[in-house]
Amino acid sequence: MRALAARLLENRLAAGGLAVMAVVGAVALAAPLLPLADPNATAPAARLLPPFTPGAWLGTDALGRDLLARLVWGTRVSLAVGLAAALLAALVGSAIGLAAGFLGGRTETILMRVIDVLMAFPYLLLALAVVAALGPGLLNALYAVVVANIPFFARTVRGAAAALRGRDFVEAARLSGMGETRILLTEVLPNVMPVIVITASTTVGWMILETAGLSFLGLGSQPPQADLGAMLGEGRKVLITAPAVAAVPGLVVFLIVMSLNLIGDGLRDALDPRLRGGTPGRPGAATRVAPGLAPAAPAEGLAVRDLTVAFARPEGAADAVRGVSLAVAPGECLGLVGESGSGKSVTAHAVTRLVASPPGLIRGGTIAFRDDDLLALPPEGLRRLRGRRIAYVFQDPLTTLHPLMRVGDQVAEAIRVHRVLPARAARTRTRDLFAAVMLPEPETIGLAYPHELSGGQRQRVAIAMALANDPDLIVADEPTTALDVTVQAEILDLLDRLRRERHLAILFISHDVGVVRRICDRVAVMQGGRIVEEGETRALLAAPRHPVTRGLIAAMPVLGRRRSAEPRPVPEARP
Amino acid sequence: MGAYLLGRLAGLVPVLIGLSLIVFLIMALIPGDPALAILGPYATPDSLARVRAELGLDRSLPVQYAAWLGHVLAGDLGRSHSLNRPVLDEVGERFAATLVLAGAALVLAALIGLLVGIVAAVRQGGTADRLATLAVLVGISMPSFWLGLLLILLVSVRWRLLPVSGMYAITGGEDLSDLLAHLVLPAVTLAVVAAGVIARLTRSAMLEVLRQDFVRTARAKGVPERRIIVAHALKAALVTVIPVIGIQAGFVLGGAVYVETVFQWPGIGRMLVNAIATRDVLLVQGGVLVVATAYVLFNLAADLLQRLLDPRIGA
Amino acid sequence: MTAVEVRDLVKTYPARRALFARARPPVAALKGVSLTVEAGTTLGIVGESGCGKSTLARCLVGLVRPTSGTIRIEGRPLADLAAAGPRALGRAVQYVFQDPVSSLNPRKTIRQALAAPLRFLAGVAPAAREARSRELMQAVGMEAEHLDRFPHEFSGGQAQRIAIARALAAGARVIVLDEPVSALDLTVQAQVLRLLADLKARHGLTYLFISHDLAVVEAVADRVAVMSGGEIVEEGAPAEVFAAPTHPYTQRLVAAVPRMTG
Repeated sequence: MRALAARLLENRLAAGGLAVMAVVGAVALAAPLLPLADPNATAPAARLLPPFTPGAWLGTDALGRDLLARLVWGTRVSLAVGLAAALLAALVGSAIGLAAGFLGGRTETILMRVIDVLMAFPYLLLALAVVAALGPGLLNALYAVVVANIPFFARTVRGAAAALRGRDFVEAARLSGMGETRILLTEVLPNVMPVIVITASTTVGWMILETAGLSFLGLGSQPPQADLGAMLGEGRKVLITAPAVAAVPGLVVFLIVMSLNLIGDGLRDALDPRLRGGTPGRPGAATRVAPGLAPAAPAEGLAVRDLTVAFARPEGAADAVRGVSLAVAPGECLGLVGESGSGKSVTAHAVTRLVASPPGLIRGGTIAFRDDDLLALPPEGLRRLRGRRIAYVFQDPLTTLHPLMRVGDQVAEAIRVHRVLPARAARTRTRDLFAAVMLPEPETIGLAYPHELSGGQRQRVAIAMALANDPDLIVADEPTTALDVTVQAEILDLLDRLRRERHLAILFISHDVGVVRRICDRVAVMQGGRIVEEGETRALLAAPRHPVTRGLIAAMPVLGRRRSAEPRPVPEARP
Repeated sequence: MGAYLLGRLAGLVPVLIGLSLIVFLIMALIPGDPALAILGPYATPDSLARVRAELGLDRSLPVQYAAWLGHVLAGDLGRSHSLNRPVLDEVGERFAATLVLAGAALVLAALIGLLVGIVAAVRQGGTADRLATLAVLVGISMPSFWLGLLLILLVSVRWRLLPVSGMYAITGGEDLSDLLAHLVLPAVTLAVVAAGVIARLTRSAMLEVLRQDFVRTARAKGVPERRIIVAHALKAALVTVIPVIGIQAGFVLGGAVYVETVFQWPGIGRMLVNAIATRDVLLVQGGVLVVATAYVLFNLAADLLQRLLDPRIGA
Repeated sequence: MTAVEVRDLVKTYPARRALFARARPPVAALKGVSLTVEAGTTLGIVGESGCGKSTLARCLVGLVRPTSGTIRIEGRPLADLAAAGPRALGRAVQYVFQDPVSSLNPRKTIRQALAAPLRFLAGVAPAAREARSRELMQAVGMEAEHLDRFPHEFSGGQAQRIAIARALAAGARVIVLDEPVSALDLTVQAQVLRLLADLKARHGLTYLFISHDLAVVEAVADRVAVMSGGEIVEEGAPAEVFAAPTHPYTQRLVAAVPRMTG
């Protein structure tokens, strides 16, 4: 809780909002104690006095009532009604949402149908209908705003609760012998609470706005009592002659709503960092490179020397890759193995500077591909190289293909961003590629969307995309990790065949020594951002020298060789 | 798509029934006697009984509902006692005026919101992003009834650039430039909040999408950055933004009540406020029913558009 | 003694009938599965995604209600146990999830996570719970100080140890392990597998070990059942099944596994 408050205050905007609300709230609370004129005492002789009149600092309205006094009292009413509405709506709406989301089944269907019907009314219209039924009045306006807001809470909370319903820890609680009510209250509710708080804090401003609005229309607070909205409504009648009468209460509404929105946003960011709109900066098109690095000497294929890649973290920069050197000759397949966090994927992505940046930064080293110095290439030069001479195949093709584009279009795009080609020719070429990766029905499968294909088919599409421009090098980052073993075997065979037919070089990243053994000529073992051992695949795996390699092999589940009961301990990878 | 459309249309039936039920119930449960409200305190018992029978108040609620629904489906929304004309005629005229205003505001809000959101996301952390964030904050916190008054004071009264108010004939008026002159201020006022919400959401949706794996794939195959933003990221972001535009249509239709009051726009919002004040039950019923139905249909359109963009929905 | 006996287990997810939306034919996840597990042994169940092995696992702990067929845990029908309430069932059979982090409530400390089965299943008095929690942590190779931490403070391997401790807390002798090491790094996998073997030996546990990884199953199982399309296609001692598979599906599966020799 203290940490939450600290995080909230760190956010300067939220702190500003909090300060404004503290002042407004204090003044509203202290209204009876302040030396104010009677807000309802009319004085026809002193009507429409301009602001800064002694004795009436904000002037007077059309009935000669002191505007400052009315403003303070009006703020008090508006705040009280808005906050009460927010609490009520949160309570009722969350209860409905929680019940629907957690219980599911028929209860959920019926409750959500009712909510759907309420949501079918435009927001303010529902409030108007309620006021029409109950009659104008401040309390009725409050009920109207509550009714209009219940659906939002119910929907949001239901979504959160329903997502939890099938989660492992809720089922684990069930298996621990807990009753349903207890699960709802101790497992689900605490996890839904942030959602409720966020929804309440981001809507309270609007609820104050809406109650003021209803009063402005003459449907809320009734004379002589006036909230800020009613004051605005009265001021509107003398808009031309005395603009301040309307402008000032409006300004106060605006300030309150804005402050509450700021606090709400701050609270949301503090409670749920994932929703924060952008602290980790948008990654640019290419990984940033520290200035002043030495130029790269031309190489035969790919040559990486002393590559160091760092990630900027709140607690300071950390190197993920520390001085890696490797080379992939034309037509060669180099395997890069290691456990998660060993830096193998970062190394692979750094080759064409695909490491997200920020937070990534290439701090040192050189990367040469033939005559090109990849760390010195301008963005456009890099773009022309990517996908044309160095192509990528990533893990999990479901997230790496565009979900809303037909797979044929995605392959055709890979061709057409690199050369001018009529659409028809690109389609023909795409079809040939699909045939080459042995996808079924290459003529028509291009019309499918990624979600319509199986995992293996998607990975074949990704490989077809990588082959689109006959590249010299393919970087394959755990291309078979998300697949079943039989599919994995097929994809590995395909890659191996294509590489021999097309004289492709492959940089193959995997955590699986067995997979690497199946396809790679040479293998490099990584740990803690460094290459600890490198050599010809079979020789190295048959006689590993480094303990990390031995650990990886020992831990490898291998069929036909019962794993030794006491695998050699592997030194913990540095985080 | 055909099956999806049919499914969505079928799904509308219970919503529309529920909606009509609520509209009916709210008015049926009004405390006090509508007949008395219609005829005033000096009504004779005879005339009260006649009006009650006319309204069907002497029958049970389900029967009343069935009868009312039958009339509604036949296009008969009753007769407004305060205006002494058929509710349908009045609502039709007024709703046309509101559609012009709300439609203009929504288009404006969507255009500005998308543009600001995209620019802010692409320039994240830069000056443009900061300015956009500030503008969004001011926009979403703006009471439209206040903004309207300020605009009238500044643009119309002080600078005399545009007419203050007093748009009376939307339908049948031939003078398009006059209509536009009257439309600018109300439409802008009404668009501000929605534009803020759309911009904020577009920005966060774009940022979210730009971090996805498939954007890295697009970079890895050498797609130019501009094309990544428009063809890859925006396309995916729209799937989240379009439903929000649909929801904003509801806020715009509701917010029209304020703006119509401020600018004397002869729309359905102002009609409703007056009808509530004069306790013209049938007029309120008819107005609410028509606007809510229109909103439901608009949301259906938004759903279909979203489904066109995202083949995963309903598959 | 037979710890688990499954007879003709069928689970069919009903067809989705819809007037306008796309209908879905009934899905047969389990088509008459029968198996027995002797007390104190491990039955490995292997198969690829969609073969029904997870449905089987969830039937065994009552998270999924089978369409037909019977399950007996230590001689007692599962239906009776389930009818007697979560307590009877939880004391007979426990379950370890694939993803350890998501199986722990992010807002509860480890102490609170362990307290639930101790209180509701084992019936341990409040005063004795602390000592028992410490014992359990020790049994899975964790420190007692870890009791006050939250799940996100642990690595996957540590979280899986805690999840195992929670399964042990109930005092059940049959434990269903649903891909318990798939989410872990290879070296961590080996450590968790060794822990599971130790616990089995020490407490005389019976395991149903479900995995897509043939080699892992071979390493831990006394017997192995190969599932495909909702059926058990081959069963036997792991050495025999994997060295000389008779069913064509098993042959394909075995051929696809990467090897370190040859």
